[in-house]
Amino acid sequence: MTFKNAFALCAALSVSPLIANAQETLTLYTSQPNTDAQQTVDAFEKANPDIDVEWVRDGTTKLMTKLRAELASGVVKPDVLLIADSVTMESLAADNYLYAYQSPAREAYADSLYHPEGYYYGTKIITTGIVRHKRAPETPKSWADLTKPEYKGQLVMPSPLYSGAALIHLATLTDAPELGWNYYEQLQANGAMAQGGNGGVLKAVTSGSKPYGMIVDFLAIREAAKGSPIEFTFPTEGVSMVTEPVAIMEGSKNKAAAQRFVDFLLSKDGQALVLEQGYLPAREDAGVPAGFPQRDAIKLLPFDAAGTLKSTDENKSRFSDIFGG
Amino acid sequence: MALLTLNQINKSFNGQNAVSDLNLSIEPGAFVALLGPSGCGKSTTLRMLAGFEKVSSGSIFHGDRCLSNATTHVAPENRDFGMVFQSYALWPHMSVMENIAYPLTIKRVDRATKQKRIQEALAIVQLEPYADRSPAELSGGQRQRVALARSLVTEPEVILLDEPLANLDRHLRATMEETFRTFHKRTGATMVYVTHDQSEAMSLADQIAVLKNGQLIQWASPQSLYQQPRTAWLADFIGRGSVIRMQPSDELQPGRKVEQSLIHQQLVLPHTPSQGVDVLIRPQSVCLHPSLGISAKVTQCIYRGGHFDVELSLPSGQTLLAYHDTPLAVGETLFATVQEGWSLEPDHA
Amino acid sequence: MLTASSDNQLRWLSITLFGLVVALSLLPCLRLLSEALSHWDRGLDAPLLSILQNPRTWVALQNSLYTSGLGTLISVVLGSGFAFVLTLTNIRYRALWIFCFMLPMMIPPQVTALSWLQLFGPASPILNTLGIAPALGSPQPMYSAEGIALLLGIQHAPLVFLALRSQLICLPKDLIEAAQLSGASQWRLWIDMIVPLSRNAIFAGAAIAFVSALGNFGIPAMLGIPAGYSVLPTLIYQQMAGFGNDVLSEVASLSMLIAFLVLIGMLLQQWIQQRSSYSLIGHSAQPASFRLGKWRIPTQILLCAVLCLILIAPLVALVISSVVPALGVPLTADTFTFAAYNEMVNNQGSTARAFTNSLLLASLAALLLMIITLPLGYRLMRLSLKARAVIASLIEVPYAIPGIVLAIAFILLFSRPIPIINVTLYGTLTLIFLAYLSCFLSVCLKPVMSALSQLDPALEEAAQIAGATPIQRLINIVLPLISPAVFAGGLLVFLIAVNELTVSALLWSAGNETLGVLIFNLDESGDSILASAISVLVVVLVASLMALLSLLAPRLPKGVIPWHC
Repeated sequence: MTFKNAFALCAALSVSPLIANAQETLTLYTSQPNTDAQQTVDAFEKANPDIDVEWVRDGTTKLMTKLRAELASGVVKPDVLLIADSVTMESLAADNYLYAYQSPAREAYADSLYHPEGYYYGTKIITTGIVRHKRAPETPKSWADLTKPEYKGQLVMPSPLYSGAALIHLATLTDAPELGWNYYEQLQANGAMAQGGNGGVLKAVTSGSKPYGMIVDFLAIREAAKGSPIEFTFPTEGVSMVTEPVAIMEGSKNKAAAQRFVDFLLSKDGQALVLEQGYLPAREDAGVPAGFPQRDAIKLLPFDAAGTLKSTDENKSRFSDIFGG
Repeated sequence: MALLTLNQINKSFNGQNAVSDLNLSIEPGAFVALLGPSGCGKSTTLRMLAGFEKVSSGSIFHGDRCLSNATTHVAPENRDFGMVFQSYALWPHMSVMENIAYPLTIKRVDRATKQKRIQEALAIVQLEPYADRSPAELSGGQRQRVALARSLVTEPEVILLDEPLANLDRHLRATMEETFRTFHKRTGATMVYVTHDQSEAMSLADQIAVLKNGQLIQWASPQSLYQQPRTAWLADFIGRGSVIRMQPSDELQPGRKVEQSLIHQQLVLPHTPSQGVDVLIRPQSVCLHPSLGISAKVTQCIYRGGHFDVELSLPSGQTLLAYHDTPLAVGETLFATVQEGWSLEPDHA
Repeated sequence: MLTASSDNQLRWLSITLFGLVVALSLLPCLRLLSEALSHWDRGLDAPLLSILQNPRTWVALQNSLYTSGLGTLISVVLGSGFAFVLTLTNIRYRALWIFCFMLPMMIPPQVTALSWLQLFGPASPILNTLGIAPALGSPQPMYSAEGIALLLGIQHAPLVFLALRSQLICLPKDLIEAAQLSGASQWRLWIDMIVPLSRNAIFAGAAIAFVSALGNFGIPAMLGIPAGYSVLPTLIYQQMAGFGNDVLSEVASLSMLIAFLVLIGMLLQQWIQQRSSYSLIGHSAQPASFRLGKWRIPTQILLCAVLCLILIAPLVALVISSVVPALGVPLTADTFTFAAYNEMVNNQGSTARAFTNSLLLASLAALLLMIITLPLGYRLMRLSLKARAVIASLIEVPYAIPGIVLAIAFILLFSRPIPIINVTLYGTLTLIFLAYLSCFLSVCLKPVMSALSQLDPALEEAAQIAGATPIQRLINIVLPLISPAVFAGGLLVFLIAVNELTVSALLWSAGNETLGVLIFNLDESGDSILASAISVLVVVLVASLMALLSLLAPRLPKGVIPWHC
């Protein structure tokens, strides 16, 4: 009896998503914050009224796990991905899950921001810098400052064990000659604490439990604009970046619509939206949001996506050896 | 109304024999007691009759219908018996009326008949004003009566009772015994009554099956059990009296009435504990006299409300129990005559 | 009514129930096991073995056992303390106390953790007002194993409370009075009589609390990661943040480890439970009640203090953090704003969807599970003790393994259309519903089994003699007597499911988000204020639902609504 009930329920509930649409449907998996994702989708649908976008938002970790489980069963649900970092994209490309698309819009972008064969395209430049509580006694100007005794036990940072962006930050800094692994060892000796993700760092710094932190730029700058008692600095040595790339799945059944989505994100309008949302657009000629310095004042540290992918496990265990957990 | 028979019933739990080779044939309309000390297998036998336990071997028949044997087993819900549990098992979420009504509700009896039967049942146990109460509000005796009413409301042919009076006080027990008797007469059902109290069994039952360690010791009427018990253990268990060991002789065979002359002859002989035949002498058969009979010395005199229990010490050293109307002094010597006795089989185990 | 014979009825019941258990509990576990055992041909490099060889796995295992064990202890003390005081004494405003005690379950564990952190941190409004706020950046005592255990204990105390309360209601007065007559002092009474008689329920509650603690992710994530203290669920999360194809297998392996721990724990609990089962339910006596006398006021003060800590403080922190414009901005008359509520209610379509989805899923799951667990428990009671222990432990596993992992199992099982009927469940609300059934079956079953094992067998035998078939007995006799436990189970499922996060986190897709997912996503991406706003709305909603149930309470059997007497 209960079996029959269950199946009746199944049948009833699964009919709803199968209701036919005259529109084309594009499924997007993204790790952008909810409000940003909603705005992006709204803007794209406005510019392309014949396409309906269904989007799923989750943290990169969970999103990727979900995607992997689906792929392991041989099912490809999303058409486009818009996720935090290029290392993840590299990994998907290496497993042949992505579709190479040479978008015409790529002319306006620096080479380092997209995959040469067109597997993925960076849409923003999200850097990781230093944030401090306004009441904090010190004002750090460089990464090296954080190893000074005044900062002992006062620093929080996102953990590369849990956050892809933090992992890239780790890889970038350890590759930089003046910082390297020695830097992290010094940080640990100075009592730095590794939090779960950027949201956690924000909470810790704004509540004052740790007056200094490493965090992504837009989060700190946006919240400061709303009145949070915090301040963001671009350190003098330079910053690491993640580009929130967009990519098309090889198994997508709607490649045409997917291509239009990619083109939109890379277009002037798409980048103007990015600017409005408070991120630094990847497109060179798109200007900078309020609270950011000029583009040429931001020094980007060099970064190798493919190399980072290879050394992931090694980096993680080394970090874990230093910091525990 | 059909014959209820148990044929060669054996029941074991985990290799332990609870009931061995039990054979009983219960006449329709009889009031039968299963009597014995705890652990004797009487409750197990009742539960097999009810259907809560399966038989390990043997069979139970109700008329021509096989209720239980090694291959088939009729579930309790299909046997149409009634049962009164030791803990009464009244459903706490139902009122008295609903408790009694339940068997009829299950059998889909129509409303009019149902109401009539419930009222009759309540009348028999004299609980009409309590119909809407909940069991929690009743006393032990009242709950007992509700359980009884519930067991008879479907007019079953067989009613099983599992030590129903065990939790009641003495006065209440006497009243309830009367209720059972009336109830048996009125319904004419076969009643199988489990108890460890021999006076209860004696006063209520037509036939008593005495069990010990899973075996049937004797199956007889109360009077036969009282006057002619089979073994020494049984003699001790039922009623009061003295078991005197007498020296073996040709006239002294087990299971026979022993005449006065032989008793008097034996009582003066020395006591030989290792061999001999046990003879039961009930106190009613003993007369005390200042001069006639066998000499005996009073060792104890206890008032029992109406008469005195007098314990006498015989010349052979054995003890004899007698009744007397007036108190006797301890140490006093008098004479006893014994009308008759009953010779017993030796105990097995 | 069915004319099938008793044997037939029992057989059909068994087949249906067995099929359900297989589908809901066995299949996901087997799928995970097959995933964990994959790539066996790689020998020592196989995912399962590399996990077992990694010292971090064993450290995490040890930490898990420590924090869960300590947390369970705290839950038992807190939960049973409240249960005893609120059930067996003549304390006043009983309904209010119980209502308040159950409410902390409504607050997502991350929020509780955060509010405690803020309570003792430099930005604490209370400490700042008192002038004893710690300086910026001072060490945080909550970031420790003990901090984790404390919060786990508080989070799961209501589970122990509910399990124990439905048992204590049935404690008959005459047993207590008999002990009092023997000269037992109040204290001895508790130790010698009440605690042993409620032992079963305490163990049942402790078992649920322990299993919940083992699989809890939110609290150790918030408090453990910063201290470098990892437990099995956070270790799993670490694995998931990695790259490559082995991720799923490694995650499955770690969750098998948790499943193994759970099985051992469950078997242990079954063994303990068997050794002492007393027939209590069905005694038609009045329930026990102690007079507090001069202890009444101190007890009420103590309860008040505890509730302030576990309920008031987090709620206040939650509300405050939802009406400020940005994180870290102190709350003043100027900064007070409802912007977050405005945004979530009016601008975000996800809010209405999430509320509808969560309420629908939680109530349907609770309802269906109540219907399933009564016959299931009834059937299980008829099995041999060993078989019962094995099946009960099996049912426990989907609840114990972290929600994320269960979700993975369901994805693997259901991402393709079901053969023959060709229906795709993946991405639908139904799939989350099935996962909830699998996950929460044990939560609903436990109180029911506990109550069934205490039922006097004579009550059912009397009904058998009266001619009732198994189904009739189940409905007429067993159900009314067990209904408090059944409802307690259903309520528990509802309360846990409505805030549920980790299972739906992976199974949801566009349009199917649940409240837990919504709150967590907002929080994780830095929109903590919006997350707090939704959390407050959830608490208000659930409190209103509980109040509604209170209004219905007079029509339901005694003890069904735990906070209504």
